[in-house]
Amino acid sequence: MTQGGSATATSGRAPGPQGALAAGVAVLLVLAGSMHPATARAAGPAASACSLPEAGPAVRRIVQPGIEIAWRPSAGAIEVGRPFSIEFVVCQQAEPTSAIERLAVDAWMPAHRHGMNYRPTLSGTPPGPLRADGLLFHMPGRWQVVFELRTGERALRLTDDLTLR
Amino acid sequence: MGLAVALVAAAGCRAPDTAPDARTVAAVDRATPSARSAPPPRLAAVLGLDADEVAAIVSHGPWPPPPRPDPTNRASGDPAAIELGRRLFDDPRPSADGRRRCSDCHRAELAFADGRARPPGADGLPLDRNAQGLLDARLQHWFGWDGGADSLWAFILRPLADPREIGTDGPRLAALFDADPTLACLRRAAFGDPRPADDALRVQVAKALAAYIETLESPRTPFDALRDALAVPADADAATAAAAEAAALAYPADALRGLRRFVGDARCGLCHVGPAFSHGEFHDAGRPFMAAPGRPDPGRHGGIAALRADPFNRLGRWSDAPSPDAAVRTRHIEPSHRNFGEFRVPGLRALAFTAPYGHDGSMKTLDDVIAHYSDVDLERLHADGDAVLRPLRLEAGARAELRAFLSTLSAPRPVASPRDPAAAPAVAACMARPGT
Repeated sequence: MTQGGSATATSGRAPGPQGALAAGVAVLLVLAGSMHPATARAAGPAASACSLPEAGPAVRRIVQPGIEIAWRPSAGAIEVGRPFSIEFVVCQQAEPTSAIERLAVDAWMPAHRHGMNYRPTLSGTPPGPLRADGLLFHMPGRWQVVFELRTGERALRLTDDLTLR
Repeated sequence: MGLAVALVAAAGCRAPDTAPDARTVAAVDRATPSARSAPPPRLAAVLGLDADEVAAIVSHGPWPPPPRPDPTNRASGDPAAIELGRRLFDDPRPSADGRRRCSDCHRAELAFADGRARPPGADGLPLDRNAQGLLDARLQHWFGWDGGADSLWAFILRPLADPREIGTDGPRLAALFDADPTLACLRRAAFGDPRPADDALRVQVAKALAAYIETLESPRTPFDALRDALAVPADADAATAAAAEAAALAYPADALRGLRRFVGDARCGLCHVGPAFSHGEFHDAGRPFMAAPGRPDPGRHGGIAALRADPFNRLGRWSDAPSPDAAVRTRHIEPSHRNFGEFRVPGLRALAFTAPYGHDGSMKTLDDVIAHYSDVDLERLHADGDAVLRPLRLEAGARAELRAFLSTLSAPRPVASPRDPAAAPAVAACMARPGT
């Protein structure tokens, strides 16, 4: 069960290959290793054309210049100790258009300095809807859902805070 | 899992969807204290509880939770299987030496624990871990101190096979069923004919034992009376409200202070979550973890390895679950070096009967447990920066209040009255004419 929340997006240089990938190139959607953001900018939910199909729980948004993630739990509210899935879309608005080279979904509790005991699996094709299965928040408190992406030269870390009671 | 995917084009997703879904909004609203069925203001005020405290207390119920059959066990909830399991639980004949029973280490009068730090194995040496009580096991997701099994029946296969515990095998079980027509009848009623052998028979026995253990439930407690009183909605009728107030005011004042500490500053409720007072996951609590001199107990680290290697886990062919959803935890388990020295967070119900405490039974009393968390040595943790634990630094009065609260999680008797499986037609038929 969730209450409140805030979204944050950070970006930085990815250590990988230079240059944006050309459109149409197949990329691997993987659980990423850590990427190190260089700057941070907070962005709240905003009306957007970046969206999920209408049927379903309320959509949450993380917005950064040039990129937006809209996500929601796939069924009802998130509850402590109960596995859940999320649906999300990744929308890029920046020019030039870049491919998502790597994409990861994870979550952790900043105050406790630990993450989940489970590794989500991803499915789908960007921009989405994509799906992450196997998330589980095992404690009440503030959790931070983390989306990590690498698009060409950019490493992005977009987060959304949720408080579970 | 990794997927090869086509490249992302620019934005342009779909039609606007900014209108929130009513179902989720309702669910979220129910989670917030202000939107819950608020307790009668006067009752909360009399007890000195704020809305967050009331919400936290109410989250530990109701008790008991409704039945939830184990989807991986087709015998779960089946009366014949329950009766078969009940009989096998107290039967020494399956054991290697014909003398050891499950009930030796899981005694009903001790909430199905055994009162010893670590029970002796068949070789006379202590086993590696404390024998956990079995009450309310149906509510768990991981079994054993290390969570090395993802179902109750898969966990039971371990002591069944371990020569230091029951030490049975397929041929011995087959001989037992061939010799005992009542057991054979119950097995037939639960699982059908023909009687299998070897692994399949061991699995049936484990599933029958699990079906029985699922019925072992801790009774309602003084805490539950308080919790239910606080859950009475503000618009309840006068008689209901009066009964709730009477129940709440009967709760001991020192226990209430301990409860407020439990859900408040002491942060016990971070791990001791929900009606069973456990989130069912694993933490390094700073306890010793040497199973024997020079031999550490790896805890959850070893448990995950055992789980993944176990052909009887939920991902395997022995699971009866029709949906892969039943294995979602197993499929997504994430091993980490921090799992070393982690053990499953135990539930707290029937605590008064299950001493000694801890995975190695090294804390003899509740006072020892409270003292440990009051003075926990963070240097002992292997949690790699995990910041859940911190020394509580409790004075003597605060410790006594916490103990008073914990005592209200036990009823005068350790076990709720189980259903009587003998009343079921299939069981009654086996009792009357076992050869049928």
